[in-house]
Amino acid sequence: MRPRFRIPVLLVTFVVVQAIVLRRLRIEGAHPELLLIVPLAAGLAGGRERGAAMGFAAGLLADLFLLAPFGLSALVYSVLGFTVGAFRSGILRSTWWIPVAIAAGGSALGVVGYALVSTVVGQTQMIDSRLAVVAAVVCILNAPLSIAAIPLVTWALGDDGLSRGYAGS
Amino acid sequence: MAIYRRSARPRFTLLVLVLTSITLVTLDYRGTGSSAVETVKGASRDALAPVQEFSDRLFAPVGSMVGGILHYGDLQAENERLRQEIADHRGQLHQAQAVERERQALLAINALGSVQDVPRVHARVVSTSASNFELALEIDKGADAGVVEGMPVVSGAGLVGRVSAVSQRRSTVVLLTDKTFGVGVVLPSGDTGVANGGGFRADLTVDHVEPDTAVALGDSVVTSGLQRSLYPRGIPVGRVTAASAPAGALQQSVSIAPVVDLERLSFVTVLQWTAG
Repeated sequence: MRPRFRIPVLLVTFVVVQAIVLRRLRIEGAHPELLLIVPLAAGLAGGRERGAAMGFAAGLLADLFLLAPFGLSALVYSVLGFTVGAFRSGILRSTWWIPVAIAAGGSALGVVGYALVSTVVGQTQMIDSRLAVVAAVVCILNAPLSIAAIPLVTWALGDDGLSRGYAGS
Repeated sequence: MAIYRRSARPRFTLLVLVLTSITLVTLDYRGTGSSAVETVKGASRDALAPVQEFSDRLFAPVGSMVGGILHYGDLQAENERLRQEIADHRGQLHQAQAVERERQALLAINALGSVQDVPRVHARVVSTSASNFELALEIDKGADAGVVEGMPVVSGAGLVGRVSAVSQRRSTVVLLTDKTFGVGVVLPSGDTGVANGGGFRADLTVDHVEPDTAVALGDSVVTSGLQRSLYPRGIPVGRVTAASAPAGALQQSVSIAPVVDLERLSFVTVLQWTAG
């Protein structure tokens, strides 16, 4: 399958998996965010530009199912993908668990970033003590998911750079 | 020059994406083009509906079996508790029926509407919220069944929340514990207030209760149904869990726990009630 087809197929698959499986997997009322791994993995595998573009696409898809203003997730995910992409050169040849740790930490940052940006547009209810719980739960649950999700995103991008990084560890 | 291009293009891409996102947020927030966005959102929810229904049929028996094995002790204890509650409720039912007959007679005399008169749509809860921050659930009835945004949603015990988004086959219901939720309520003393959601597993707070109003723990709080209210009067909202009036305060600090167990809802009822 060509990369141009792989990306939409992967994103739609992630949306379906999130909706029918992961949304039920709750700890303290919070569930994992599979689409949040997309910009992080794309940034690691494809650099800043691909990280931002994939983040934008994944964010728009996530926004389709939220009550919050449309475009908020796209904004946060774009910046997240770009930021991770900026640091990818040192990670490519690292051990297998470093990208997983970055996906977990980046997921927590994404949750906090989303809450902060939401506050700017008037959704002030997200900044409270529960934010730390949600960020921690997403961080913990996204870590094992990223073990499968990062190679899938790398495959969809048609870039085996990260795969080589895994093999070289 | 080549080096400049390599470093500038990703930044330019990010700038375009960020500006596009901000434009979309602004358009949605201001209401401009929100109908187009809502149409796309609704179509997405409807597209996922058959997949969700199929997965429910596939996974529900497995989930029930695993849940039964893991929580066998809890289920036994809960069964005992429920049997006791049924026995208690049978006694209360006879009393309630007599009171209800009197109430209906009074409503008829005063030409007032009742919750029982409101047309309703029964729905199944198919999913919880897609967001980690919104306290909501998704039901399997939408515009096709006559559900409209803003309609109250109840269960057998009391108020569940309000319909906040509707597609053809699905609706999203914001729970009364969500921090964006507010409802006019009346206390047993007859005083009114506004109950606001306190967040995940937190009690609701009731504002605008006079300091000298008599409030007792366990008091039942129901919707006030004042003029132009979004909810008909008399729907149970919660029971008072805390009440205090610090010296010099202009209002009491009152907390109520929802009467509905929001984490174990399988079926709900949408009241086809419109404000006014």
